[in-house]
Amino acid sequence: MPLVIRIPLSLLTVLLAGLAGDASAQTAPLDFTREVRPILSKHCFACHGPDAEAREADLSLLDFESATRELAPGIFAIVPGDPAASELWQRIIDPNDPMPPESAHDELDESERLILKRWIEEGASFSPHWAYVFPDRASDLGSDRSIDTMNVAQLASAGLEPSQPADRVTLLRRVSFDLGGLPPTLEEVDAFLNHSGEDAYHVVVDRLLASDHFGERFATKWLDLVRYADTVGYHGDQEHHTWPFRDWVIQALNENMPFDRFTLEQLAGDLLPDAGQSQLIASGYNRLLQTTHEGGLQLKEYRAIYMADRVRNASEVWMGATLGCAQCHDHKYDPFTARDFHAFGAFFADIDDEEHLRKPYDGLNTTPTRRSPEMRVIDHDDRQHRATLEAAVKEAQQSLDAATAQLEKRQPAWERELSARLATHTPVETIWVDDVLDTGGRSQGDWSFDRTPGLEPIRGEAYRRQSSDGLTQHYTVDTTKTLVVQPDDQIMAWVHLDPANPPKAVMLQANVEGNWEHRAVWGGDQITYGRRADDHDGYRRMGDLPTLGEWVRLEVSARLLGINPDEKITGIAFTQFGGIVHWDACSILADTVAPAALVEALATPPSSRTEPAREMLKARHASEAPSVLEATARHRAALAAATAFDSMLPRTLFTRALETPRDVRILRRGDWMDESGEIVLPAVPTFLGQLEPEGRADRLELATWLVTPAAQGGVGELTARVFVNRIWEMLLGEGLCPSVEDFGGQGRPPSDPALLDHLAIRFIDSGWNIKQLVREIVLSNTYQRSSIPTLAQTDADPANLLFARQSRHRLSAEAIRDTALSIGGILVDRVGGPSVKPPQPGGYYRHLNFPVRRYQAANDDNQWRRGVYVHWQRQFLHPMLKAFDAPTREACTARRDTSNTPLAALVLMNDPVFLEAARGLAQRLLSIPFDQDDERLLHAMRIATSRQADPEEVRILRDVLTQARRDFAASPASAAAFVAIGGSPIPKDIATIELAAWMQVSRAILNLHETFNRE
Amino acid sequence: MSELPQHIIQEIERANRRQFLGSLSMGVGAAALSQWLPGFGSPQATAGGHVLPSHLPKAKRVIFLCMAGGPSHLETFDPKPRLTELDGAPMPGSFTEGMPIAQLQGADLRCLGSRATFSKHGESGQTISNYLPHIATCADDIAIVNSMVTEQINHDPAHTFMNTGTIVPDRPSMGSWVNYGLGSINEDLPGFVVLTSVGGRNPQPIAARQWSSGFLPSRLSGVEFHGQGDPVHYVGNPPGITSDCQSHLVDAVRDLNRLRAETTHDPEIDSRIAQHELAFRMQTSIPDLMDIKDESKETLEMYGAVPGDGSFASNCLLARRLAERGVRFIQLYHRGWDHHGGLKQYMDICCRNCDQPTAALIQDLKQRGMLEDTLIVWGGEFGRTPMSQGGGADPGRDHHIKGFSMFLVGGGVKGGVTHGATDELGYNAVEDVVHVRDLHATMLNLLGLDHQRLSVPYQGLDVRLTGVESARIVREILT
Repeated sequence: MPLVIRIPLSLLTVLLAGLAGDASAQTAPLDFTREVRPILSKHCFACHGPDAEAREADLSLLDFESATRELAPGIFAIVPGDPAASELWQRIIDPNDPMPPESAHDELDESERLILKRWIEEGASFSPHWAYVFPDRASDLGSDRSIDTMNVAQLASAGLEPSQPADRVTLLRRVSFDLGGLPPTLEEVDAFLNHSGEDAYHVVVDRLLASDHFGERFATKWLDLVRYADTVGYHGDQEHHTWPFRDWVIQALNENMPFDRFTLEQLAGDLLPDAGQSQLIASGYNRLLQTTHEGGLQLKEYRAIYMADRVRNASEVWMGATLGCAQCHDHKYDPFTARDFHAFGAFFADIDDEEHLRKPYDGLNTTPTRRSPEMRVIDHDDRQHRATLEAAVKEAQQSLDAATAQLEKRQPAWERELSARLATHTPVETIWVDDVLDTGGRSQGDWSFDRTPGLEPIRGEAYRRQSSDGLTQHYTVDTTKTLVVQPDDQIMAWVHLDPANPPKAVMLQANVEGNWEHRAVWGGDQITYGRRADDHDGYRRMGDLPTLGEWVRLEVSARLLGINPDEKITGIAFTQFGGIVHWDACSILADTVAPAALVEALATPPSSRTEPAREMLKARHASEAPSVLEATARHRAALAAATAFDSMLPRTLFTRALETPRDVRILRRGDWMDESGEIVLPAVPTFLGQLEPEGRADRLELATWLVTPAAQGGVGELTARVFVNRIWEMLLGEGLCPSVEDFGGQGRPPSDPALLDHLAIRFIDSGWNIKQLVREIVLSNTYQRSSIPTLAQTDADPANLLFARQSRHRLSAEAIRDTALSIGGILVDRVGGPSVKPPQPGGYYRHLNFPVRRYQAANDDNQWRRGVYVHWQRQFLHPMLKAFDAPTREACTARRDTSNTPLAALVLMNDPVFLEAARGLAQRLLSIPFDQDDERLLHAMRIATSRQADPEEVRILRDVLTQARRDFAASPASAAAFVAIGGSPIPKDIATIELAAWMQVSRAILNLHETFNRE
Repeated sequence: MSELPQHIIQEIERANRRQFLGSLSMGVGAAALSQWLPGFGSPQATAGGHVLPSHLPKAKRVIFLCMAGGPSHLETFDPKPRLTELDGAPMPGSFTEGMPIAQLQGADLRCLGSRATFSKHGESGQTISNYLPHIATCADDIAIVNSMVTEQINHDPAHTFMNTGTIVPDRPSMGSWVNYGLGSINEDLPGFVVLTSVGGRNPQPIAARQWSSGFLPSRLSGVEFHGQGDPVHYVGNPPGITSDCQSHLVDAVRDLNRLRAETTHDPEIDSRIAQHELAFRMQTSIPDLMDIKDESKETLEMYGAVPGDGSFASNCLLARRLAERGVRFIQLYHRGWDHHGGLKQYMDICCRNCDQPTAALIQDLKQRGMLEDTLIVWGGEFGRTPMSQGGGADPGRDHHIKGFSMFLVGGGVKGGVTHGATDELGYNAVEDVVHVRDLHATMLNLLGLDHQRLSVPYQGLDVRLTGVESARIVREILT
């Protein structure tokens, strides 16, 4: 691909200069990046930073030249080396007119003042913001470049000792949780403890990296970042089809797809030259944002909201940048302009996803809703089955062709016969539906055919009763039974309107090959679908309601609804507003045996007929010939089978590019109603370089730029730095740059920039190899250290930013669920597939509407699947996941909270899923023939914590057991109720009281801090 | 490690605790430490924090009565005779051209005169419609604002805007902000509680996002209490488990956790123990709180509440009980106010549901001397158009954001005043316009918080409830 990128001169200088040096010695000059810039950014940049519009006193403190120039005769903000002559320092210490001004409520504290003073004394040197400076490969050479040597050297300079290695059980649990999200099994613990060889740990790491659980665990992080969820998020929060994207992420991680490819496929999979199903699924990334299906939305408003959402997400995920902050004005702290924001957004202006915004009333208030475009996903087995079905279609087509060919001889005779028939024609009525729904395809609404005493059906044996106090309908669509209609044909349906409770309006609506814009309305204007002030095909006012209390046939000609000759009806809807309506037979009345064109063709001598006329007559003959009709029926059945199969295939969102991307205007102050702004073309932020594409730059060029190293004109090293920092944070508890979500000026500088650069460079050189990066980190001594802090460490580095020890933290929501299920022996660790719905409290979705929702918990083994597969309802996330800080995924989440709340404690104590896990653990314990309770208690603790319990712990648990046996013996009914929890069968061979007592012990163990803590 | 002398272990724990605090003040802002660690001290003691009560508060708590869907100002507090004269006539284009319009996009816009009659009430002579006879009896207590404006014309974003001051995802809602700034009064209950009820037109969906703490700690999120069923998720004991059994379990877990803390010196364990014990107390205190059977017959009748019916009336009574127990921010949603059609019919239902309980809540708090330090806010996410929507005998009104009404009462609010006005057709707020962020600034001011200083650094920005634009405290309605 032609991709030439010019790097601005200033950046080249930076590239050559490399990072500012070593800050180890006490007397070393201040490090601008780490010590000075954060103060300027926090207190000064709001008025003296990148946003030129907000700049005060024409003073910028962004670089040496601006900060030291003469502001007014004899006035300099900074005179290097001379604080007394520097206006900046004079104003800081001015009690009458201080800087920052009092109105900003933002005073500098004493240490900040002293740093600024010392900085001026030392010459006020500037260096560019670290995150925009490319790592220096030349200085990243030599044998001392490794995680451990670099970390130990840094610790030494801070006067810190690294902690001892963690004990083996802790290490095994740590690496099992970190790489797989699950605790080690007893067998794995024993194998590791019994394997004394040096490579024992390597064996464990390689086993974990090769397991499918690796992808599941790391996908959770990625899905948080890209805000993957199963519902649209806004208003009705309907489900949409995206789970294949989640499986794609898991599979890509398990197959160790290089991160550069991982990036390209998500941002621009659809634009790749070799785009197949997998790349299209990945391109669903661009569709993961929240969407609205609320009536009354403003297209242009949501166009702006969607674009801002995409800019925010892509810039945060890949660049660690808050480019979204430049939506209304230039960024206050980073060199992003409002133009950069819009130009970045223009990369996404080719994404074809506005159908739901243009037609919010078009039946989108269903769940799952439709978010065109969607694709069908087919796996290997399904592909083979489909090939068989296709072959059947082909064969049926061949016999149909053969039958048709046979007709040629009979054509003249048939034409004579038709002429005779035409002389005495009668209209033909074709039933669409009566007494039974046999149209195939999809249907919605109440289709029960019934009859009640007092009202006889007008046709057949039954009718459909539909009542509501508002808008309601039932319909069929995408039917396999279809009808070809002519403009003069009548579409008809029988209705009986309840005189005691009549509707305000009734409507007959045809779906013509996927298009619903054909409506006829009787009565008032209450039905909103398609309604406009004027009459149009999509809303024909037919006059008053028909007579109440008797059967009346609604009739409308196809012509009036804008249906063209030979178009095919593929669905009909029966809609009313309020009242009670009985609906009976719906049919199409064809008024002539043959359309005018056919009659004319027949009257023309065969030799003078045009080719279309000949074809028309042949087709008509075929449509009446029994042999052809039979072959047609077989062909239709084969097609129906293939279509039915296709309709069962899962759907997913993907990206389809528009040929002509939408115009992107710079919206002043983000105001979508202001259309006076300039139109911008896709471009990367100006200060980072420039793409030089042939024609308009596209998403593929953006993605390529992100993962192309600087030497080839991209910003790959910067992207790599953001990503390796995330992995480091997952494995060490804190990032090398602690602000994992913001590498910008308001973020925090890295604690060890050289190590961050080293890992970024190695990551690129390894071919963006994610597993190798993870492996390298977990095999380091730095990773394997104890997490118990020493006094010196907590004094010098309380937040453990220098990694003298490991971190310890509560597991993620998903890992807590998985761990409980695993300890209980009921985890079902099948990989992939549709999202699953474990039990949740009744009525939790009662605030959802459009449509009203009823949660159907899984009653098969899907209820015990891993957390990563749990249905992600953005507005009402499963209460267990929510209690443990899983994000709603409305926006990018770079780091989850780890709260410690009573609501979470209630989940551990009382959520039926955890009770079922407790019963599972009790069953496991009772299935082993131990002689004594204490042995069984020890075993229970080992299953949950991987370690040997001490005698005091056993004593406490024994007391729980004794007490529980006593309580349940006194109330066997309580024991029976207690063990009956959950969806798995109750074992018959275990005494209920004993099971209940051990279940209570298991609950205690499943409530321990240690059970769900990674140490 | 476990062999260390005791004094060193204590040192480590001290240091650990400091680290815990340190990480809080860095990650969260040092403001609400008193909430995280009760007894830590007043917020003023946290140097470097962003929140310092800047003046004496007049209100200690807020009860926000959200009429979700958007009640019509033209049928409640804002009479427009000229609109009634023009009933059925085309809406003058000068009002609507270039304005955002929701479901009436492309429709024939016609005036709809008010379906209500208005009269003056109380000594102050406030104008209130016949739909709200009970609230009218509180005319001298309430401050009506007839000049509200918002920026979002669809329900979901409009609620988000009303609650968080922005539509950018993942921002804290006002109840979380208030708890962040002031901390909790009652350690045994969440500081932010939400209750919902239905009735009237097809109920508005309400996302849990509306009470989310966004990027603030999830501890500050609103907790939804349910009027029916388990009042809080998982608050009931498992079947077959008595309170004694549960108590034994919590004790055993505490003892085991303590043993573990002795070897690992992890301060998080203390916190876990405390949260388990609090959870256990909540298992009793919340069902007690939610059970209104112990209220007098007179009180139940005053609200029109039937124990366990989950109605807005019961929720108003629960709001008083929550307020009594020190919950800072109580938000009630009634979900039936989206009157695109059947305006008269649904106003009848919604006002029947909401009018009496709202007035009862005001009176009840007043009788108990709590109204003076409780701020009550009543209103929707937006108002409704002066134009009609739908035909028939009982048309409705579409969403409207350029002018609508709310009222405030209690803690520091002047009674008997009407503030601001819309134009002659009730379309644009033209006099003393009050933006949503002005409402926020006013609310925070009454709580003793300076809206400019209640900020948290997040992703490079000092985020405030009132955003980056300037907000004005509506001093005209304050005592």
